[in-house]
Amino acid sequence: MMKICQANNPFRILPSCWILVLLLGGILLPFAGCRNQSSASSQEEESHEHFPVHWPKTVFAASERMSELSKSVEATSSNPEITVEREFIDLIRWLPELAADSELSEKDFNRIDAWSTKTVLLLEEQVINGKKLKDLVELDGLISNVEMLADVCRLELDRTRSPE
Amino acid sequence: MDLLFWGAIVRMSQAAVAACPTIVVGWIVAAVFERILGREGTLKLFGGHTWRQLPYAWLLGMLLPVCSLGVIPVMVQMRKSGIAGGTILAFGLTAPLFNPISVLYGLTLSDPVAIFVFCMCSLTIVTVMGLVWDWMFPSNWIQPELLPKTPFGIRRVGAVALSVCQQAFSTSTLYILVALVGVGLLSMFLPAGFLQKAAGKDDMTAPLTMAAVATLAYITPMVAIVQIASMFQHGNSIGAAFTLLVLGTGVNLGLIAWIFLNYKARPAIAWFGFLILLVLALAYCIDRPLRPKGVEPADHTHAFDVYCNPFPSGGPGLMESSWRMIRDSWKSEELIAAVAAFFILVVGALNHYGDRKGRWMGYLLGSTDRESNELATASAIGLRRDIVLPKSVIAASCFLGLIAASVVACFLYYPPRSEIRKEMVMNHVDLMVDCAQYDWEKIMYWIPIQEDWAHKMEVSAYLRRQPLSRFQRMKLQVFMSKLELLEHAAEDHEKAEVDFWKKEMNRAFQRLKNALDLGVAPTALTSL
Repeated sequence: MMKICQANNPFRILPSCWILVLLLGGILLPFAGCRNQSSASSQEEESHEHFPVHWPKTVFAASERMSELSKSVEATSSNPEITVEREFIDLIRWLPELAADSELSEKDFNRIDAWSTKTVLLLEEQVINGKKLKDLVELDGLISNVEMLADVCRLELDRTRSPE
Repeated sequence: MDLLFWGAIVRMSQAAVAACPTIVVGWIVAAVFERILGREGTLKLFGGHTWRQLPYAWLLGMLLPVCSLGVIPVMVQMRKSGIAGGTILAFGLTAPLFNPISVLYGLTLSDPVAIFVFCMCSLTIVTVMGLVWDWMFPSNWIQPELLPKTPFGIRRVGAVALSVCQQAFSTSTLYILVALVGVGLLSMFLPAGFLQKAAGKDDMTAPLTMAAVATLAYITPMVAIVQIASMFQHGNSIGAAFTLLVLGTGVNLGLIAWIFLNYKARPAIAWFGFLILLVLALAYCIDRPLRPKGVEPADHTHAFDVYCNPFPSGGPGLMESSWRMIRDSWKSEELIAAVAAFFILVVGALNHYGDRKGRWMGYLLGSTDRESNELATASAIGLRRDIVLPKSVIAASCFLGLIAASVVACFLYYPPRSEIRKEMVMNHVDLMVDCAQYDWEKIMYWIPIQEDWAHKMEVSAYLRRQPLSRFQRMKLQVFMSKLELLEHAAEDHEKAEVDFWKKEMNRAFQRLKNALDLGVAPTALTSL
């Protein structure tokens, strides 16, 4: 049976505490003294830190690049670290975020979002099975949806460019 | 040396102020245990020495809004009440991990499945640790000390109030101080920004690093859940996030010191070692299956900057900067709690030094004869409604009151959308003005506040059963990502980048307001 009086003297914490602090210190000491040397200077470097190289900036740029890839299936990826198929899927996956970062209406957003969500899963499956870009663009409805996106973007660009 | 000293002072002060609300709650709960439930009642509340003790420890731990510092006085009372060590430790780990507000916050910020898995894994750890402790060290409880009976009525209220002050000025506060020293030590070990790349998705050592850091760190449940959500959103290591939750929120140096002192070094080392092993094992198991899909991993994060030294380099004016940093991190509710805690501590000190014979408490506890006389007099003069409530009624009221208070607190903490909109618009104006003036400190002050309101917007909508549409959520997400990029630009003091991201963020904010269909009134915003 332990005695209750153990809790009365706070200074009795110290010996055991020191052992623990030393143990933890042993783990942490190798980290101490190291400094984070990295610092991005230019805006370009900073952007690359936060976005992948093939990030399209706007939904319009994404649409343009997707049209380009779907028309020229021999194209190479704009990011040397990934395949062109991966770039194509990433573009579709990022569409909802890019669309939300534009003045597109909720109706257009919902269309794009629904298509993106459905298509990404399908394309991921195809890529796992070793399919190439030319196989991907042949999937039912893909080209028509890329064209639909291009139309939506064109209309939106016209609307924003035209004087009120 | 100045850098280390002032860095530690800043981090310890920030942790102390952030902990004040839950420490005060911890003192009140400990006083209620001591003076209302008594030793026998407290033992009964936690299921006695039966199989029910661990589930009860979970349940009560989840309901009580205490952190890993505020739980210490409660654990002291539990131990004095003769509760088994395994149950006390299970309670001590569960109580800081979850409370209704933080779980709700987590559910709306991260994938609900991930939060559910985190909760289940945490409860598994707590149960296993409790069972292992009781199996390794059977009969590890002490005989409860006998307490004089607390009288009914106003004197009981007085006795509880005085007990709150006594809890504050007791050894449990020394353990709290030890925990704060741990926070200071950590900031001395870790230079500014050192953990920015410590939780990468593919970094196999991330959970290990986090285990080393989180043990000394002090994190409130809310901060933990926000950091975990941020780790999910930034594609950080899920294993590291889990380690942060269990060890960062549940454990601190003061708690470890308390276990060492109360259960001796050998059992404490064995228990603590086993806890770390179990946490790491589970962290590595869930790391891959819970990885969010489609999230681009960020190359660095600022989520853990709060554990490191706040100053990247020394120089003159460290003291002024420290004071400013401490002042900027205060929230109004924390400041109120800090003043209350100070007052309670002063009364506790006066009671300790001015009344060594315990006459104040003796008077409040009084004699039962006088009490029955008073009751008889009260009945005689017609105060028949002044009935003596049985302990079971008081316990049930406390329990239901706690649930009701949790629900009310959720609604208060997450105000209606219209209120949040007002706050966000005002903050946005301030932020835009500070960006235009390149006032780096103020920019860095407003961005976390704006982020917090944006998070609250989502939780409030969820809580009030008016969830945001996918369109609105995406607009909110875009706004928050622009806010974050503005934060990065401001950190680097890059004027051109700040100008760029300020415009982007402003545009995203206008779109968010339109999407929320808030009927934007003409404000200064349009001209900004």
